[in-house]
Amino acid sequence: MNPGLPGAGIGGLFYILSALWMPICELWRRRQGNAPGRWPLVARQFGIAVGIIVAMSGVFWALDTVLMLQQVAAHAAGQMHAMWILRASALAVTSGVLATVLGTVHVVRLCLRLSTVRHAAR
Amino acid sequence: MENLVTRRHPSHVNPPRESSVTAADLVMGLTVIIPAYNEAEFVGDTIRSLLAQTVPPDQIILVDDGSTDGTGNVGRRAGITVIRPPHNTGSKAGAQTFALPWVRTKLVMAIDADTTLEPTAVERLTHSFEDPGVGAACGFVLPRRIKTLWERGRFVEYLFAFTFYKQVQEYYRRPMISSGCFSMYRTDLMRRHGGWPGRTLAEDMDLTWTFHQTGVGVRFEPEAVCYPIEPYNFRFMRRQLRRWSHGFIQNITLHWRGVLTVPFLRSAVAVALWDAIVASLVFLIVLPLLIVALRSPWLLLAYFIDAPAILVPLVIGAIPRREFGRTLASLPSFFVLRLVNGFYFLEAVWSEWFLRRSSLTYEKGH
Repeated sequence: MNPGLPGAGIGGLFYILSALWMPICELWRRRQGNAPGRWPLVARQFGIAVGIIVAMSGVFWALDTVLMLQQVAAHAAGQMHAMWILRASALAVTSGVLATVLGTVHVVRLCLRLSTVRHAAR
Repeated sequence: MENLVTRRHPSHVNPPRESSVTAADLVMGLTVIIPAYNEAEFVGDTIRSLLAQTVPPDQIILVDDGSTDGTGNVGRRAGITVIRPPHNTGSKAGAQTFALPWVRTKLVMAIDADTTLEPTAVERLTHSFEDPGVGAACGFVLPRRIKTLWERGRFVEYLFAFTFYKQVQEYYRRPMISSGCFSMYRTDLMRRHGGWPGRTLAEDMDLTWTFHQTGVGVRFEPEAVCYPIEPYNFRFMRRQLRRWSHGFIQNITLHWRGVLTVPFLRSAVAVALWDAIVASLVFLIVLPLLIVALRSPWLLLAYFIDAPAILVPLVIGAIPRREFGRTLASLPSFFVLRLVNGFYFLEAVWSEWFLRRSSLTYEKGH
């Protein structure tokens, strides 16, 4: 079973960032002296994350090229607008939404903890 | 085929009284539970694959859950223990829990009746339990048959998720699900939890999230590979997607407070829920409206703009398996499955949270 829609939306970005964070996390764990050597896993997942970033950069480059051709050939305002929506939603909005979702999780968690502490105090 | 039960544990063929079994009574070794309802066509392969393991299980129990197609006879002919509840238990979780009192080994494994294993799968999964803090472990899942659109879509989805998402989850020690089709557990832990919970349609997710909340370790072992039969037509796929979607929503309803206390898991669940709802809405409602309003076919690109991002883990997962060509050929099916998946997620959210109609009818969908 696989919850969510793999590849779509903020999930992809979340796992890319988590994979990019793994080497730093692994270094920290080694410094603490409590981590078994998991560098092969770290290297593999870090490589996948970098590969995805490169692949998506390629997509944006291709879109830019197509966009330029469109400008020259068609002057289609609607299509220009559509391309802008695609690009914006793919990066800026996704990052903002991910930050908002993760931030909300922490806010809810803190609210619950405060509520528990208050109940315990009574 | 040898009778492993009568050879190694002759006294365990009769149903024991659960109350008489304590953790101290459990012996080293592994018992496999195969819940089955009308699985005569596939269960023979599952049993053969278990008996061919480099470390074969000490006991195999087939739970013939009211089958009418001779499923139990397949097990008896193979020489394994076959038990039959007085009536159909209504779910995979119910059938597995019914078999739990028969288990006398320290480890217990559940495997679907249509699932086969790589010969080293059990041995590799067992290694996870060398860590005393680990209570459950699961392996890599790939469809056994990859022919129809639905099987191909599922193949790409699994290869992507198990090569990338699940391994990241494993690094942070928080696999989101110990897959129900092939997972191993500590028997005393399962007994303490009363077996596999039947309160949601996704008992594997329920159990995994319960373990994370109680500090029990869950591991993902990517080298332990299993091959279930996935839905080959829309009718079966629809049932499976409905079950999974409702199960996911039911588990969030049940566990959300507890999950908030588990680092990484809370974030992974939150983004999965967001994508399940918002990405589905975008794919099924927002994008079609925009395409019509702006009269721009370019927006159709949004349905598969992430194809290169999906391809990267796919290629890394497919090349060692020598399945690059099949993976590429199957990629379009993934986008179809994702759209259908989105529809059933929205249906589940609407039904469970807005209409307050919780579905607990377990529909078999392979």
